[in-house]
Amino acid sequence: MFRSKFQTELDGINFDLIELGRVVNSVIQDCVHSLANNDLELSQQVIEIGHETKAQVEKIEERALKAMLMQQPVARDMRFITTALKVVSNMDRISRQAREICHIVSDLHEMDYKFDAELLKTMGEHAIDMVQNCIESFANLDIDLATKVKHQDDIMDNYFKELKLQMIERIKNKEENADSALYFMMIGKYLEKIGDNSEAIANWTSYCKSGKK
Amino acid sequence: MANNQIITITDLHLYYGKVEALKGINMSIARNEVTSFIGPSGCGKSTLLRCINRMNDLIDNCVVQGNIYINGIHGLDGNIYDKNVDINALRKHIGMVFQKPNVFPMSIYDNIAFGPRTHGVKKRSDLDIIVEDSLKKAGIWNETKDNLKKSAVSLSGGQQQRICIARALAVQPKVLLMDEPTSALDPLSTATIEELCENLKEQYTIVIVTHNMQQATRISDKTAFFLLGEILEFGTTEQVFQTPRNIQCENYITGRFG
Ligand SMILES: Nc1ncnc2c1ncn2[C@@H]1O[C@H](COP(=O)(O)OP(=O)(O)OP(=O)(O)O)[C@@H](O)[C@H]1O
Ligand SMILES: [Mg+2]
Repeated sequence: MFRSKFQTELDGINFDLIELGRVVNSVIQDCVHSLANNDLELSQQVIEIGHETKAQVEKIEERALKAMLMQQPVARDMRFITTALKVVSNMDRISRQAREICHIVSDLHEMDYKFDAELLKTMGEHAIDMVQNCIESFANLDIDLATKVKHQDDIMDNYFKELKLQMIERIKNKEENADSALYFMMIGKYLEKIGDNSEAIANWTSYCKSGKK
Repeated sequence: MANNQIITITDLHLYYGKVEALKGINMSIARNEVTSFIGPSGCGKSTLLRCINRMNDLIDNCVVQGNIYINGIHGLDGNIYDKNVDINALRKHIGMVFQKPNVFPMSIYDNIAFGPRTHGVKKRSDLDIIVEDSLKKAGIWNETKDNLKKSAVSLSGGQQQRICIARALAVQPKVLLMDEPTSALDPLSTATIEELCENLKEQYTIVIVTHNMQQATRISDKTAFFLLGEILEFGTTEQVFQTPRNIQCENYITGRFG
C-alpha cells in the first residue's frame, strides 16, 4: 500500500466512523423516546437496528487493524488509528446499552408498569446531548466540545446519584410503584454508562488531536 | 542531569569546502542509552556521527567549528577538538561501525584480534577469549567458530557486517557509533543486532543512524530528526514518534515528505 493510498484508507475509516456515529446518534434518540413515551414499537426498532451496527463495527475494526499491520503508522497516523479502534468500541457499547434499555422498556410494557420517573427523562435527554456532542467533537476534532462532554459526564454522575436516592426511598417506603424501582435503576445505570462511553470518545478525540487525553 | 550526558555537542558547524553540511548542532547524548539519528538522505547524519570520533579529520577540505565534550571516559574528558587530544585513545573508546562492511583482508580471527593487539594484548589465550566473546556478542559465533582461519572477505555481506561489529566491540569501547549497520542484513541478523543494542546498553552508549523508522522505535531511547544540516526535533523516541512537535519531522516519519 502506498502512502497516498494509506491516506485514502485513513479517510475511509474516518468516514465509516462518522457514519456509525450518525446511526448511534439516532439509536440513542429512539431509545430515549421509546422510554419516555413507553413506545414498544420504537424500542423493537432499536433492538433490530443493533444488528446492523455490529457489521459496521466489525468492518471498521478490520480496516483499522489492517492499516496498523500494513503501514505500522506513527505520529498522527498512529494516534488516529488507536483512536479509531477505541472510539468504535465506545460507539458499539453505547448502541448495546441503548438496546439493553429497550429490552427493559419491553419488559415494563409487558408488566404494565407506568413510567413515572421524571429524572430518567432528564438523564435520557442529557445522554442524547452527550452522544451528539462527543460524535461531533470526534468528527471535527473539536477539543472545546470534547471538554464540554467531560463536564457533562460529571452532571450525569450526579443525576444517577440522585436517581438512586429516589428509588431507594420508593423501596423503603413500600410505595405503590416500588416494584418498578429496580427497573428504573437499571435504566439509570445504562444511561450513566452511556455517559461514560461518551466521555471516553471525547478523551480519545483529545488524544488524537494533541497526544494528550 | 548533566552527569548523565556522556557527549555534549555545542554549536557545531562543519564545512566540506564551501558547503556547510552541519549548521550549528547542539545536543547531548545520554550514557547507557541508544540514540537514533533519522532524516532524509544527505541531511548530515553520517557527517555528525563521524564528528564524534573525529573521522572527518581524514577528509580533505573538511573544516569543523564548535565543540564536542566528553564526560566520564577516563583520559578523554574534555573537548575532543582540543589540540592535544589522543586520537587513538578517542577512537578506541568511541568505536564505529560503517554502513558498508569494511572487513580487513585477513582471517576472521585476525580481524577481531587486530584492535586488541594494537592496544597491547599479546597472550594467545587472552585474545582467544576476546575473539570468542566479541563474535558471540555480535551474533556470529555459531556461523564462524569452526572457520576462524577463513578469510573474512569470503563471508556474505551480512556476515561481514557482524564481523565489523565484533571488531568494534573487541577493544571494549564506551561508545559505539553505528551508521546504518543493518541496512544490508536479513531480518534475522537485523533482529540479532537490535537485540545486541539492547544488551550492550548496560555497558555502552550507542548512537545509530537508521533509515528504518520501525528500527528506531524498537531500539532507541532518544531520537534526533535531521534536515539539511540541522536537528529539528530531538526527544524521547516515544515522544518523537507519538507526538512530534516539528511538522517536517511528522511529515517525514509518516511518509508524507516532499
Ligand atoms: N566527503 C565528503 N565530501 C564532500 N561532501 C560530502 C562528503 N560527505 C558528505 N558530503 C555532503 O554532506 C551532506 C551530508 O552528507 P551525509 O553523508 O552526512 O548525509 P546522511 O544524512 O548520512 O545521508 P544518507 O542517509 O544518504 O547516508 C551531503 O550533502 C553530502 O553530499
Ligand atoms: Mg549516511
